[in-house]
Amino acid sequence: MIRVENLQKTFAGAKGEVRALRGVSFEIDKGQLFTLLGPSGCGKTTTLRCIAGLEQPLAGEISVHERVVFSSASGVFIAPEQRRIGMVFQSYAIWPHMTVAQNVAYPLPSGLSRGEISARVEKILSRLGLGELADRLAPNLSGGQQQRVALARALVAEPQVLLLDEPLSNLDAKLREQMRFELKTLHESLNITTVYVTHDQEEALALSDRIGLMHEGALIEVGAPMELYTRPAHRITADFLGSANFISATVERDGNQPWDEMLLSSALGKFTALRSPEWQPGMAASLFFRPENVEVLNGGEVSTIEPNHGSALVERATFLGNSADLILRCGDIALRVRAHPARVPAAGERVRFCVAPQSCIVFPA
Amino acid sequence: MAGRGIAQTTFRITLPIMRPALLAALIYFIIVVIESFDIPGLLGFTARIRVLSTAIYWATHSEVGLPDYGLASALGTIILAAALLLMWIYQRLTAHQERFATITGKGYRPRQVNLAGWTGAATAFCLGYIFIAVVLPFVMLLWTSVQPFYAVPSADSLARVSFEGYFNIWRDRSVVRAMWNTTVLALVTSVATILLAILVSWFVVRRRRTGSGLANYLATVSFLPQCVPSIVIGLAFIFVYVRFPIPIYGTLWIIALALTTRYLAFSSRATTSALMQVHGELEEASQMSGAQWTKTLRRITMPLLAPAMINVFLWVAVHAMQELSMAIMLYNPDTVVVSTMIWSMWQNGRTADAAVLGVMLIFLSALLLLSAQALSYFRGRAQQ
Repeated sequence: MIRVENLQKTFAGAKGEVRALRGVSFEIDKGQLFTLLGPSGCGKTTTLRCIAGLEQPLAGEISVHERVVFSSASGVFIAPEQRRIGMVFQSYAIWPHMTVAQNVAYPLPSGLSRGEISARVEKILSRLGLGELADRLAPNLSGGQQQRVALARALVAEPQVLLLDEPLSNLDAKLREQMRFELKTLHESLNITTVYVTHDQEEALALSDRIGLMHEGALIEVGAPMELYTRPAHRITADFLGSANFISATVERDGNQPWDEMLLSSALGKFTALRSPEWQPGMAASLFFRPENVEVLNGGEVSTIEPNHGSALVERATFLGNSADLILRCGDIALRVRAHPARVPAAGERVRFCVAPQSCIVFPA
Repeated sequence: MAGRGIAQTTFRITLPIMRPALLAALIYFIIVVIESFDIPGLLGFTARIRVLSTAIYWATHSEVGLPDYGLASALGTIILAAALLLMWIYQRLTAHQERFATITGKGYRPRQVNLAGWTGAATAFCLGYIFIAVVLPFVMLLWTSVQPFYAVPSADSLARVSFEGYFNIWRDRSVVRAMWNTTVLALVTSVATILLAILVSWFVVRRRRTGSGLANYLATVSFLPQCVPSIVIGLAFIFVYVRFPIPIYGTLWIIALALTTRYLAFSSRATTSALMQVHGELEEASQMSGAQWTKTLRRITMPLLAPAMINVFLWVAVHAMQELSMAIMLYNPDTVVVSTMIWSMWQNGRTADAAVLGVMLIFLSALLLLSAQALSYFRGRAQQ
């Protein structure tokens, strides 16, 4: 397992110091695949490099499998080569002057016999489907093959932890999907504690046991993919994962009873949402729901003023094959809606829509 | 395009644009000339023409009386100050080059000027220059080396041509020693220089981003010897190492050390730019594979830098073989090298022997450069 506690790091920038990490803490259970997700510059790669030992943090503590590898309090800094961590770099960093087999054999301890080394290299190469490429020089490999070699090299010495820094970002879309699947299978069979860094939310959602969402040097929220996507606790998470509609609203009833729902009023009408504490009537809030949770109903005008229902003008409709993207106009508000492709309303049409209360989340305005 | 002729274009546009570059080149060559020792030393010896650099030499190697180190250091300080000042101007001139780099933008194509009737003259000028500066001296050197004594080419002297000089010269024990010393010097200097250069550039390139002030400091310090004339380095080495606790003075090692100091500037520049082409993740991958930094340097960084290293190695080796101004300040009969041998032969009137050694030195350098060409050619083939 990996434990990161109150990690801080600054970089010397052109205009003074840049705070790259502002007290990041998390824990990863043994065998889990943990993803650090966020836009570029959010500090995810810096966090990864701190775990690797390639960056020295300003403050905090990192331990890997019960061994403290960095601690500012007790002045511990274990060099990266002594941390027994395998890492795949974004550029793959395959050594171009060595063959595939030489690249992969490099991390093995020098005490091993020649036979043992070639046996272990062969084993990991065949496992990653690189058996025939052993004698190939690195520059003569395709992107996907280089990626596999980098993985083989990171795994051959059987490290306790595997770090992956945007490993799929240099591959084309088709290959990326295939490698994503292979990574998942590989992780399931090896069960090695893995930290995965990416800015691609699909990758994060598909691969991870848990995701840590980072923003401007801080870890915003940690959770399982489904939990983070459907019930984000922070507006930043809601905004970054998937697409979002935010509507400004006012709290009308806070729902003191556990079974109650909150009632809010907005320019779109009244909405009920799942109750959350700390709300008082009259407070300004931001109502969040996802485009795919908006249901477009048949028939024009809203007759009764029912909560979570509204009517709007279709401003734009884009057919995407397996779905359709709509922009619904309702006064100043433009709603993003993902509709079923079977019945795509035409632009200029007036439609009714509704959003289920359990899909509505309220954030501070 | 604005209706101006070629002459006007040249004087009003081209020359002003090129002015900083031309000035920089001019200043650079002034520095080279000021610090040059071998040519004024050899040619000015008989004519008794002294320039600053040779004056330093003669102050310490007086034909009559004791060496005057006070005079030498005074002259050394003057030449050093001049060189530093010029270097500073040179740096200022080349610092803002980007401002003038627009001419290499898109669609840039050199324009061919029709020289009309001048074509012949221009060709003659270029060929004439090559002939006078390169071919003629070398032919004369060859000619002198196959003559028993210095003689102007004639039918008479043609009859005396013999390669005996190339065999007889080996009877001189000190020539053998000089050859051996030169080989050792070239090898030791180039290996030491390349290792130091890689260490320096590694610190400069890889440690700079962690904000270490030491790296910037190192970059400046290692480049400083570039501004110091060789003869001054030689002089300084006498002063420093004559009383140095390690008995290095009077050995070949002190010459190697002086040469290494001098060549480190150029070499570390070359390896620095080469190292910047090597992605940092390649070294980090080695670290993550459990390798100590020494193993990383040996198995990853050095092999990746091999092409640049071979070039620097040869550059240093060839220069070390031919270097005179530092060696002459620091050598003694035991540590004589080929260049100082030629120098003393010339002074003692052994022109034919000097020419023989000169030809051999040129061929040795050429051989070294050719073998490097061949090596990089075959390396390139092997990679495919």
